[in-house]
Amino acid sequence: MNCEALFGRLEIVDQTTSKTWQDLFPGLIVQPAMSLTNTVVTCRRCQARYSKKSVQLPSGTYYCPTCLLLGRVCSNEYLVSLPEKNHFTGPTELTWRGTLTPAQTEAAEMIKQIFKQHRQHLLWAVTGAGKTEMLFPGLFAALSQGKRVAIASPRIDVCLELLPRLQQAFAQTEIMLLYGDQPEPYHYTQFVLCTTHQLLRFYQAFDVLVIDEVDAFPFAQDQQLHFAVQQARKTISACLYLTATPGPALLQQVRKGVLGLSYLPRRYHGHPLALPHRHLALNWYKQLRKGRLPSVLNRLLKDKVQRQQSFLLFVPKIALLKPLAQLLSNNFANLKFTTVYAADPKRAEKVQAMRQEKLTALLTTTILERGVTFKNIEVIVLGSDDSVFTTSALVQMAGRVGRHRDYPTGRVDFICAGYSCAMKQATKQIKQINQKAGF
Amino acid sequence: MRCLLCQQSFIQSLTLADIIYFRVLTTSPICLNCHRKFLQIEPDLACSGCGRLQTRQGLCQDCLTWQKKYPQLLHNRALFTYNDAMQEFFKQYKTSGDYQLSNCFTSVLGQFLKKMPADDYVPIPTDTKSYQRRGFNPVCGIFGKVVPLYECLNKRELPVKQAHKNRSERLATAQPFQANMDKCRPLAGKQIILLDDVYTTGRTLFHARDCLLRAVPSLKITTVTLAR
Ligand SMILES: [Zn+2]
Ligand SMILES: [Zn+2]
Ligand SMILES: [Zn+2]
Repeated sequence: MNCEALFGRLEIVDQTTSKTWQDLFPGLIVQPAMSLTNTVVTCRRCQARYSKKSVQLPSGTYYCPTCLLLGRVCSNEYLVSLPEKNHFTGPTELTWRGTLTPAQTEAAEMIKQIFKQHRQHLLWAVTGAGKTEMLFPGLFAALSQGKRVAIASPRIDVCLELLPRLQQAFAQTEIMLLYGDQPEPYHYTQFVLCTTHQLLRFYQAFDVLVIDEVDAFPFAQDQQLHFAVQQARKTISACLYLTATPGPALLQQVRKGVLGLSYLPRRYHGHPLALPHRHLALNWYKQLRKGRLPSVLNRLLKDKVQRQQSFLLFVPKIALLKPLAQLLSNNFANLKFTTVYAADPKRAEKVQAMRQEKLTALLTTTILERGVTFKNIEVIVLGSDDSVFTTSALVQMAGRVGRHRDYPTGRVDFICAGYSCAMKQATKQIKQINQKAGF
Repeated sequence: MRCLLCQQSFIQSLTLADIIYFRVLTTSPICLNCHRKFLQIEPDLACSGCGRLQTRQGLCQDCLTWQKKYPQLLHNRALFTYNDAMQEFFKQYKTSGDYQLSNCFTSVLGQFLKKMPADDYVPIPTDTKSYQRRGFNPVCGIFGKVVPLYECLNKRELPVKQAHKNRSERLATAQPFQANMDKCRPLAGKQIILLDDVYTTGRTLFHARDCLLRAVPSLKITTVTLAR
């Protein structure tokens, strides 16, 4: 173990190792991995609380099931780390060759100031605003001053999509990507890209922390995210939340004045967001079960096929994919499409085939709602009133449309058996943001 | 209720009979979706030597090879096929050390073992070092809630971990077990079932049986594993 690997990083060690390391690394911060009361154990890494009985091992020690994927924490172990020393020589050049629109430049300057002044801020940026590029000037300034920087997202897809773009823009800086099952072991880098879960393995490490697509985080786990963020950033540091659909917890922090807020309501190409068309189809599920294409869907599909328009068809359940695919191939013999779902082993290939326009359509569950962009795409959501489609999921799905400057418009259709609260909220948010953009 | 494997909350589906006979106690802590990923072995389609699922009757190729060395095979019975889902389960249970998962198969194993009465159930032991690292014996974790266990074997520490060896290396491994003579003596003449988590090559179980038979020659031994 070299000392750099412990800068701002939490490691779990047993008592003997913790003693050895204390001699080896002066200034080592040591704390028991779990705190115990008479009946309850609390994990010091993720704050999960359990009744002692439920998490006791036969050997007598207690463990934390909640953060197990980051390596098991046991009550007879210690969390150790060294203070972040910022041993970096930052980059001298931003290797990004793109340009920003005037609106983006303005936002980029604001972000730079947020980083510089160590502020906490929420940036409400419409889907397709080009927010990654707007981070570049601010990130570059921070990195060149030797600050340690992390971008975290709840979704691994988002991280994987970001990595090549960041590597291109910061060619002189090594970026460590951290997620659940990754093969590469951790080492000390100035720039970290990770899933939000991985933040729990850091302790006061980052001068600048960006949480991307924060709305992808399940609402119930807001508390956990908040803790992970506070743990990972330095006491004096900047923290920027990016989202297209802020949840209630973040907006509450804005109201309390803890978090600054600014809007970026315009897409980089200047066109408004597509407003969903809602179709009430009370019997769509029944029709599908009887082996018929719901009539609204049939009409919409005919139109797409006629225009040779590629599209995403979202469904609420994996079980619907197969029967729907069967109906589609019966009714539209020439339509090139496939189905894809979260645990699909061929998921990456299929998405790639869609990008390369080898396919005209993808039937999918919610997995493609964010991160993934296609050049010219329209969207249909079947059963948009299902409870799996949250407000943010609906806004994100609608936001797949019109991302590219060559195809800035397109249709979004919601087919439902009733109007859910989330649907109403989503439409309201889209209207609101278009209004803010002056449309 | 929250599924132990996928963390999704789910509703126990009860049949009318369950409600009438208060059969709630045997419900599973994993959801139907996860449950479906495990492949239960139909006893009629299993190899009579190792218990693996196969399409033909009689002994599988591996067991025919074993038979040259051991004319008396194990007659192992396994509940599930070792598929991707099972591999994932063992990764989280044994490698990550998620002890709560030891409850996943308690009720199905209970029904399974009910059909196989025995005087005593003997778990395959772990060595002290693994026990200290993990905090539990994975075999005892899985079976301890199902039947009373009789621990009468010890395991020596091995220089290389089993998982890191290839098949031929594993087959050549020397006897790792020692019988605890004080505990073994009362077993004379009894019918016991040796329990393990996975039957991979069969080497471990053959070693354990050898060891027990040397200590108590009058023992009658069959074996049961969670997966094959
Ligand atoms: Zn924890
Ligand atoms: Zn499950
Ligand atoms: Zn066999």
